[in-house]
Amino acid sequence: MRNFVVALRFFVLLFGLNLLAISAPFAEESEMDMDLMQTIEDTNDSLTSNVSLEDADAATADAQTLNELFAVVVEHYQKELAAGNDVAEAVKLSEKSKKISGDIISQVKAGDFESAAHSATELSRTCKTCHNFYKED
Amino acid sequence: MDNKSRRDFLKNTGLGVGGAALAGAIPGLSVNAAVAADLVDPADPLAPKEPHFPAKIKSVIWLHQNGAPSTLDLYDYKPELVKNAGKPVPESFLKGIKTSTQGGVNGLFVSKERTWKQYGESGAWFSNLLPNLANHADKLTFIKSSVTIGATHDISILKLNTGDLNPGRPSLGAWVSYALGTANPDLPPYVVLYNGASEPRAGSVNWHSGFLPAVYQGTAFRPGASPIYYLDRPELRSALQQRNSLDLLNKLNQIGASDRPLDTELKARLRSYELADRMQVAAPEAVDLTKESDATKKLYGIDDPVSSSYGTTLLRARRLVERGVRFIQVVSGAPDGETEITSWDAHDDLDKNHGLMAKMVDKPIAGLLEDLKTLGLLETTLVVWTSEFSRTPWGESGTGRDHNPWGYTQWMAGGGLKAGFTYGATDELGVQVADKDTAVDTYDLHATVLQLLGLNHLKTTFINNGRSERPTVVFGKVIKDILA
Repeated sequence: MRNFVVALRFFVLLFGLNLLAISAPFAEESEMDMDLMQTIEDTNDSLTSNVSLEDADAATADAQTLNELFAVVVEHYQKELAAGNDVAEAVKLSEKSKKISGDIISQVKAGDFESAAHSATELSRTCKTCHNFYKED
Repeated sequence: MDNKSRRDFLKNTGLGVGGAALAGAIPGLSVNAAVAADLVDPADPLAPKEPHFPAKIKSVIWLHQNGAPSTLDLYDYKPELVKNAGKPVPESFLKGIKTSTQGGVNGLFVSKERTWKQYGESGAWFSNLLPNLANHADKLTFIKSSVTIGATHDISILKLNTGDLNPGRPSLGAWVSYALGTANPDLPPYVVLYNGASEPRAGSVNWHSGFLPAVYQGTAFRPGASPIYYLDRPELRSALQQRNSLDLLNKLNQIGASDRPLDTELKARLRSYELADRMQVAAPEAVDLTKESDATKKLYGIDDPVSSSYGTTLLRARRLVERGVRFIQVVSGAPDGETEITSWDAHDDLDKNHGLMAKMVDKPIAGLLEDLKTLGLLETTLVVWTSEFSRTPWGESGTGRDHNPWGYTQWMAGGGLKAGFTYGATDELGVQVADKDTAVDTYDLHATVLQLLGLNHLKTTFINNGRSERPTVVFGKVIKDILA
């Protein structure tokens, strides 16, 4: 079952990357929202649970997936920013999210699940902040 | 299936009564200790449990002001709003929020009846709507940067109590019951009170146990002498007859239990019969105010028809605190006999609505604080004044205000807090939180309440469908700045 979930995540990641590559010239933000953001939310929920369960393998897999997905998000918004769109906050928050997901990988590796739990909460809050900020856009 | 394998089956699947122990983790322990089943008596899921760290408080009185009062008309004095009354809201104040007021965002509204004054050493502002509560300014810890998700009342009320916009998650009180058990085996650890003719409109989903075992849900006490449905012994049945029946049932069940020592469902059933028997006496006694003095009743405003029903409810809340009830959720209704105004929801004629509603709660809440203080209970009790959201600084219907989830005031009072303290602020007009970093969402409020009860919200967990769940979903941050 876990293999299936990992495979599914990999597919979604690949799909998201392809979608971004295909759509980059006309940068449809909504397409990225639909596919990547839902995966990020689901993976984040899973991460929170796995950190709480102190399941190092599953938590690391989730954090790694998030780290890769946030790299996609950062790249997307950097391009949007370069195109002159008002997304400076999104760049900042997606970079912060990528960093936090990297921190969680290190914390889990060190067996520091308490710090990882705080980081996972901070990650959730960062996602929320960004979505609140751009709610009307 | 033999008893041993049946037990394993229950452990592995999380089924059966005592699911608290079998399916979930004990708060504070990692889930690998789902073997928690061996540490908790599955037949007594309400057995008292130790908190994660020393608690500052023993009980919570959760005062839900139903309908969303305008905190701009109670606590959050805005001279700029007064100065600019009638003018349009500057665009800069609306950045980042999505408004849905029917007819758009109207001009800024200020009631002609509103006056403001500072109280206590803390200098907290109160409007003329709360003259009695204002005298307790130095007992209060204001959170003036509250935010939530604005939806319909029912949905935002659900978030206020469960942290989610959809039904299915446990209410805060249920989490507290699960994590701490009961301090009084004769009463439920989680009681819901309300004043008014009918149960609160948002319903029992707001005190539900969600995916936690049903034993942790809140028990609604109705107004009146008989607080719990179907609790009273039928008139035709004497106390002796009931006792004899229970004794016989107990004897028969004990014979069955001796053959099946691991049958947790049977043990739980035995316990629930005895609890119901004890509650027939304990629950009516707990809410019986006949032994309270006239002075105490007056303190709670029970002598005034407008505040009488709410005052009665709060005096009952104090009695429940005295009897060790952990979480008392009080939902404001309407004064007895009032049919036109049933909540704080003032989309029009705010003066009439808030004039009545404030009068209904002002003296009772002030009385509660004073009474708790006098009895030495305020140090170990947390009073939370909260609402699903608040109201906009702009007008609606000419005389009312619309919903505002972007910045409003809530307060707490009691043990472990900086009293006479204000955290956060709204912008100069009271549209939204001034500094987003200080925003306090529902999850943060819940995390802080749990912290004061000695519970780490990150470690108050339960396994549901293989996933570790906690009261604050995936959010929640203790508001450390308000802790003493």
